[in-house]
Amino acid sequence: MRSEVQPGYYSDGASAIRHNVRVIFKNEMIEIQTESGRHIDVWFYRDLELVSNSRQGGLVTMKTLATEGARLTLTGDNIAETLQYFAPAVLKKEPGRSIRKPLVITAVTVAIMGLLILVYPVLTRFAANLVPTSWEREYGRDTVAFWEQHWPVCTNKKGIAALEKMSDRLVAQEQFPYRPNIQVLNFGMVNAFAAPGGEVVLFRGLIEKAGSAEEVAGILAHELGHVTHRHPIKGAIDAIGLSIFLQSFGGDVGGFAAQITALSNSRKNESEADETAIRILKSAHISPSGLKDFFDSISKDADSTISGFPTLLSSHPKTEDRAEMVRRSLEQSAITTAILTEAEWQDLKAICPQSDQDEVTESEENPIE
Amino acid sequence: MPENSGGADAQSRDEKHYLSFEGRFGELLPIVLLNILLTIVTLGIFRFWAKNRVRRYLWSKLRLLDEPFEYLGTGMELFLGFLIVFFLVLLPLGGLLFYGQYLIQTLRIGTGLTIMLSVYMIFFFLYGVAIYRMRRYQMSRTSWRGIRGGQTQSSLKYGGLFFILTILRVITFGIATPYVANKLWKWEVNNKRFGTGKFDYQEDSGGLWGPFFASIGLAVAAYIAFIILYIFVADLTEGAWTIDMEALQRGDFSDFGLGVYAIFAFYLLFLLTFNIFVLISFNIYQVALLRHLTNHTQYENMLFEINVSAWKYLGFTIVNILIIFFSLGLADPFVQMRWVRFYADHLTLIGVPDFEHISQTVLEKPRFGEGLADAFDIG
Repeated sequence: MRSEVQPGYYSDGASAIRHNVRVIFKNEMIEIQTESGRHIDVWFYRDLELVSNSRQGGLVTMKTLATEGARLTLTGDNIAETLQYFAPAVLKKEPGRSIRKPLVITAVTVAIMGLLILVYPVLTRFAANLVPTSWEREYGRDTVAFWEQHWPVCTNKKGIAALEKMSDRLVAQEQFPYRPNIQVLNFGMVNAFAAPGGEVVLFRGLIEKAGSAEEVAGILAHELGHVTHRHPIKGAIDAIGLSIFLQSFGGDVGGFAAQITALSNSRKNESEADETAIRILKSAHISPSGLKDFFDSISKDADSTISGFPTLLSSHPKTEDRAEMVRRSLEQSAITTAILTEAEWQDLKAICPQSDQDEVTESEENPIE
Repeated sequence: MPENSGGADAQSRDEKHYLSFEGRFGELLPIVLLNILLTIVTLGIFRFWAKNRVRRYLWSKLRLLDEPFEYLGTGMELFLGFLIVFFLVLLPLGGLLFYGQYLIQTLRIGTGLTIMLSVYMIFFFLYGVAIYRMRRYQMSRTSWRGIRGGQTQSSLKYGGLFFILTILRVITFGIATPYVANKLWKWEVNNKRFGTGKFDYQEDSGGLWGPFFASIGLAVAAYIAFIILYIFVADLTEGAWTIDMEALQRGDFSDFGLGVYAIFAFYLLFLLTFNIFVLISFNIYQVALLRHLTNHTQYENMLFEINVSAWKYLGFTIVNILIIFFSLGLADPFVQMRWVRFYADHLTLIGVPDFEHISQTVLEKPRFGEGLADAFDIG
């Protein structure tokens, strides 16, 4: 049963005092009057907004878009039915519970994010190109210097000569933005990496583990693949960009997405470097089977400790897949010549001093960076 | 119910009023669930609107004298506030930190450390600023009877005060804590407004020292008890603790299980129960602090009074911690609701302000205010 006159409290938004009022429900609006009938204000239904609906206390508080600060609380017994009849839309929008606005916000946000994702690779490439080559070289040299502190460069003259013969033949096959600088550091870990500015580092452990010069050549070609595509500096800019935008922008959720994306980009880079390695080896007339042999040997080791490392969380594609990709390219092999003589290979193996070797540590995954 | 204007008569001075809260878990749950879903979908961007929805709901379910509070903030304000802080503060300072790290890695350690330390000092200072800006924003977005709250004075001043007082706490090994808590509260409350009415707090930290030292005493006793217990148990179970190092080096892991797991489990248990004891010890101080700060706060001759026993407060705190812990933080809105309900259940307002003489605030609304707070993950 609805009433056209309801009791209520009214405050005008200018003073904190409240007045007892009569609220008269008309066709398009409510009229607010003092208890003695003096006119206070008129609020149109279309301007009404719900402030709070106290189902327990049977109180409904409203405001109007037309006047800031004024509040009206209806205290009558059957106020819900009255409102339902005269202004049903008001009761529907409870504070904090709307669904439409959040969905719109989400849609707009996702659309903008989609756009940014498309534009992102262009932006990082652009940013990478902005970095002067001299900065890149300095950054690369600083990175290597940091490693050299603990694990010095191996300087055996014959070893260096063999290394140079190998690297010259590979470097000649490809265009590089800067001349690669290849060094061996005296560290037992089976690994290698490329730093910005063309700095390539092989660890002693890798050379010891390799079964032939072709294997080392394969890995070196892979690192040169990183250099020619400028992966190291792009990776650094990428990491900074992701950590800034996804991680600090997006809080915890963004941070997680940043990690996943960084790893995915890393895997892409590794695959690209593998493909370039095969190309370099072939045009130098070196058999890529060395690279495949190396992948096979480390994937055998990985099986004996931790296997099944989820690819999504890995910085490199699965070693078996990489070996398979190289194997497929072998079908089309042409004429190949050895990269080093047997003597030169032994020289290379002896590039590091034998006496002060550190503990041989093998990481479970043995990724080739 | 007609309202007395000029409530100066003795009767209204002793009138007691209570907040009433109608929020329900069943109503908050769908809000929170949608919030979580959309926050994930937007990789975190929606969190600003999520916070806003929860506040709008909670405020609207709280009533005083039959009239509801209102939260007038918007998610967009929170988002824009964050963007501004991100580009003007986080990026430059973050960049400096990166640069400092780079310098250290390339062995220019002196310069690198100086830069990094300076940035951390700035962050430390900004932390206090962030707290105050957040308070001011939330006060200005809170209204009752259409009248808005406010917080005067510069947030930089508060930041400076916070900075100095925190250093004081550090150099006194925490002893200055009650003094600091009281001083910060005093500063904040005396600058707090509702409409043209002022909040007031004049008390000093006197009453806090007893509970504070009682808490410390209890915590120290707990610590000593645990050391004794640890020694006793370790002694009693001497055999179980040895690990066969040689076997490990041979690659023989067969004996691995018991020894190391037992040590690990005991250590974890020790840490857990010790922390619980510290929590219980300091509950004495925490509940005393809550009472002290609240019961001496006034608004225009209206007094506040918190009535809660130390045990109740302890139980309340522990459940909150458990909720946050087991939900990995996702259930935080429910803890917020528990706090609102806590105040509704335990806060008494004594006396009635002279509403006729309280008008709408003339303070300007800050346009944003939580950018820094979001960046520092406060609140």
